[in-house]
Amino acid sequence: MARFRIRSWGSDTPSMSGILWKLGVLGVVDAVATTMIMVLLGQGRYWIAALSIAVLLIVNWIYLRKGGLPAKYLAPGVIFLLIFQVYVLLFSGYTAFTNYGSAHNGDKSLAVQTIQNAAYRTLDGEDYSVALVKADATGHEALLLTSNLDQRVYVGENGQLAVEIPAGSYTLSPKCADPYAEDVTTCMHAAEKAVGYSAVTVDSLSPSQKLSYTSLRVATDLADPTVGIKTADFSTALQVQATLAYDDKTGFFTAIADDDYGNYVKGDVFKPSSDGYFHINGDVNSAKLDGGWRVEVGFANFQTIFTDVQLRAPLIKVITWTFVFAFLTVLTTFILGLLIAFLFNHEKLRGKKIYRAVMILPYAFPGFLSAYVWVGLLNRENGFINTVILGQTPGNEGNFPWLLEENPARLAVLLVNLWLGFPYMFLITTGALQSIPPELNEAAEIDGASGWQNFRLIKLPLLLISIAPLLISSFAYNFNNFSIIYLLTKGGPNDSGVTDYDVGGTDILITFVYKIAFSGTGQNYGLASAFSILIFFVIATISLISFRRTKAFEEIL
Amino acid sequence: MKTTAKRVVGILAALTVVGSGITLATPASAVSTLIVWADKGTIDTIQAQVKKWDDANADYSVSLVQKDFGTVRDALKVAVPKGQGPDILAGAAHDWIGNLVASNVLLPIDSQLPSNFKDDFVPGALQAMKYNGHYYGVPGWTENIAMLRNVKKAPKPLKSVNDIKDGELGINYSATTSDPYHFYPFQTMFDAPVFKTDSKGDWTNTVGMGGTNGGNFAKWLKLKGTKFFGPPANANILCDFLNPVNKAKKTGMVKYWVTGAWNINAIEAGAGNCKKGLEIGTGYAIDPFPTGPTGLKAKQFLGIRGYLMVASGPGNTTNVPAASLLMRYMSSETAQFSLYDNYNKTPANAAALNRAKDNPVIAGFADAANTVPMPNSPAMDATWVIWGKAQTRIIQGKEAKPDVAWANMVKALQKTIDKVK
Repeated sequence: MARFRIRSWGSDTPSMSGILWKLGVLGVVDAVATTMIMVLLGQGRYWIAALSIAVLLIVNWIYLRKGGLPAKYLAPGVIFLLIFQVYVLLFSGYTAFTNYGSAHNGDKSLAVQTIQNAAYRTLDGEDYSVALVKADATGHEALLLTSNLDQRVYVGENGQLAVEIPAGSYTLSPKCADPYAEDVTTCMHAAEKAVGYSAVTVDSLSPSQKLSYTSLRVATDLADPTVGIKTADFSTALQVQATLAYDDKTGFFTAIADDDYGNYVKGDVFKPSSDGYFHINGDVNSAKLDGGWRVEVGFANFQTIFTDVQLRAPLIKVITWTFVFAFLTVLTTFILGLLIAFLFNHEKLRGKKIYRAVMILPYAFPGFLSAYVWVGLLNRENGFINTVILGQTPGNEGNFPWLLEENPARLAVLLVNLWLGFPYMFLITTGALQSIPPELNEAAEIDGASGWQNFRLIKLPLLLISIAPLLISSFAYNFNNFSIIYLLTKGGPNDSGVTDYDVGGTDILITFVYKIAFSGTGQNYGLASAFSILIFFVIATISLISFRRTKAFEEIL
Repeated sequence: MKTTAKRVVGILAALTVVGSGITLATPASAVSTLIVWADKGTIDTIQAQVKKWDDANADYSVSLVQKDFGTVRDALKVAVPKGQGPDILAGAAHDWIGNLVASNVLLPIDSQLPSNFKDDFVPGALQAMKYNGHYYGVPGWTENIAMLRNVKKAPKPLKSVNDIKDGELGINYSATTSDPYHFYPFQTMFDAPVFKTDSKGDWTNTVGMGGTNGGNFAKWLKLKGTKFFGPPANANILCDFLNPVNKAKKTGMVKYWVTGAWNINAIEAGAGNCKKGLEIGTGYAIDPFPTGPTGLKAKQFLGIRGYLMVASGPGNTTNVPAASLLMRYMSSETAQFSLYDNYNKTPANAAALNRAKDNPVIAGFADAANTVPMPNSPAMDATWVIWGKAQTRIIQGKEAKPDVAWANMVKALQKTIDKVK
């Protein structure tokens, strides 16, 4: 027998091949992780890179050192737990206290960038075709401008007025000024170089040189530094006027021209406000600039949940239905599963194994597949249920509206979930039934108990001891049973009158939260996270109370 | 001693693997890549023209990345703050602009648009790319709906909506959120525009479909109901439009169909179990909408699919000049005529549209158009569901007082919009 003994994994003298395997795997892990870290460093994401380096060092230390066996087993699991559970939990916890959402989807620098990008307006007047040039004498960058209006040619350096170049002192490009002109024989040609200025090709420029050309402003009025001719694409230049100036030191925007839409006037100062926007003087009730960022808003999201009048009616409806749905699902699946388990547990029944295998089939098919099949079966006009089982006319819109009206849709959801859920209950009750000692049954019969008494007073309490925790977990699972609702009805039918929120007749809390977070007009991750935290507390409370109470069953034995 | 040697060997082996990892990570090419996000249909449509531009501009290589049309906006809002967005969003619906601007993801291109370029487009098309005083993209192609007519069943164009009998109209709408886009021509027959307009004719954020006019429209919707508009989510419209009338079986009743160019292929090809397709002129015609019950003219939404300039994240604008050139090319007569020629897209470029008007379908939809650009403010995005929900309830006869329900909807809508704005 000793020949077949398996070598202990924790033995102090590992084999050579074991070490090589370990080092090989570790080497691959190190290689992948190092590549990842290099990419992260290349993208300038230093914090994540530092964290990855730390994790990598710890992993290497754990596996290269002698001893410390538990850590070797636990390390991968713990790392994945930290990344996929703990981090996610902490992040959604944090998000619940922010206004993270579609209009507040980045940090403040992104918002400042957005506002700066749009902080100009184009002025009526001439526009120009542009060539980039460099002054031969000084090396200064300059724009060679050919008017699209009268084809006169000017040259201008940063902050200087444009100077007209007389005909003969410039060379026209052989190409059309409009690169995509249909008619190349009559198209306009722009100047490409001039006496004293040599041409610069765009392709030869480095990013910083490009930036310096795009920020070059040819003055049109030396007294007014806010207006000028600029190019953004190196082929067209227009007269633009800056409308807002950003001060890096104070972090404020100042209006340097009146707004076209009358939202602000020259001299208004926009300060960052608590709602994640720039408002005049930081007053959240005054005009704001388009471009928001993510800020912490304290308990505002939770306040919305409890005080928003528009949210109240749909929320009460959704919560009620969530409880009804979860409770009825557990009840119906349990009763059906129990009945079938009893039936197939009967000693005299033949072919039990085949019946049992068939009964498990709904559970064995992927739930997503079943749900989609059910959507087809429940179709109002042509579905199998209506046209064959209920014998209604195919194609008739007066047929039973399974998924199209609120109460029928709720019934449909419960029925489909019963179909998907009873095999699980059948399985666990069968297992539990078989573990009840047959002597108890015999004893009850000898004592003269009827079948019903036997079931109600002996078998059911014994069953519940082992099954009650599973019923509770089934309740918690169905409380958040996103897939069945989303695949069958998407929470619809959306026929519940008028509210600000997109809520349907079969929406349970989790699908409602999904809609708030990801669909519709504006994503609101903050509010959705706040909701998920509340859902967590609801489920935790229910589970806690239920587990406490199920201890009562144990006292029967 | 032996173990130490083993360890050294092992660590060296590990380091070798690490080394090869580092070599793999170094970038290989110096050509800048322009990244364009687009949905499947758009990619099929534009890729030949994009390749043409790509081949002519050796310093750039364009990479078309396929995204889902329904979720590309959400993806953009996540990617841009991380600096992982594309340079251009192609095939974007123009009514997305306001929402995307509010989410910090678009870059204005006003200074890339010379005045003569602005005249290149059909009226309203470039204007539709403008939001809050800035242009954010260029138009690619236009879409509008018209009244299609089966010539054999109805030889003459309609004059008034009153001439349509129950069952003769086909219109696509959902059982829960209706389809305010397809119903808009009927709504404008009552002079109830979605938003009010300002003195310049630009849309404001004030809902304009309330008041008596909106109430009258609501009453008319209830009066006509599903007898007139047909059942919601009706998959048989195509067959009923193509097939000859069969009164006994109640099939083929549809004479008029409110739809757009996207159904023309199906009409001309016919489908599955219905009769063979129809040809324009002899089989079907594209008509303007009839006048309303009180003689008012109907208006449709003009939808524009275009190319939007994406802000590539803080400080990164090096690709803007090239992206701008590519966008200019895609808006040129050459490119837009080619999209029409190969994919039946109605050009937004006026010169290309003129050339395309040889095609009776393009000409039909263009001539049937009495359009207003669909509003592109974030407010518009908030509108559809609330608007459509009320509409569908009224059509299905679930509101005893349709005008009151409509007024409530307008109130709720205004509140939502004020929140979005």
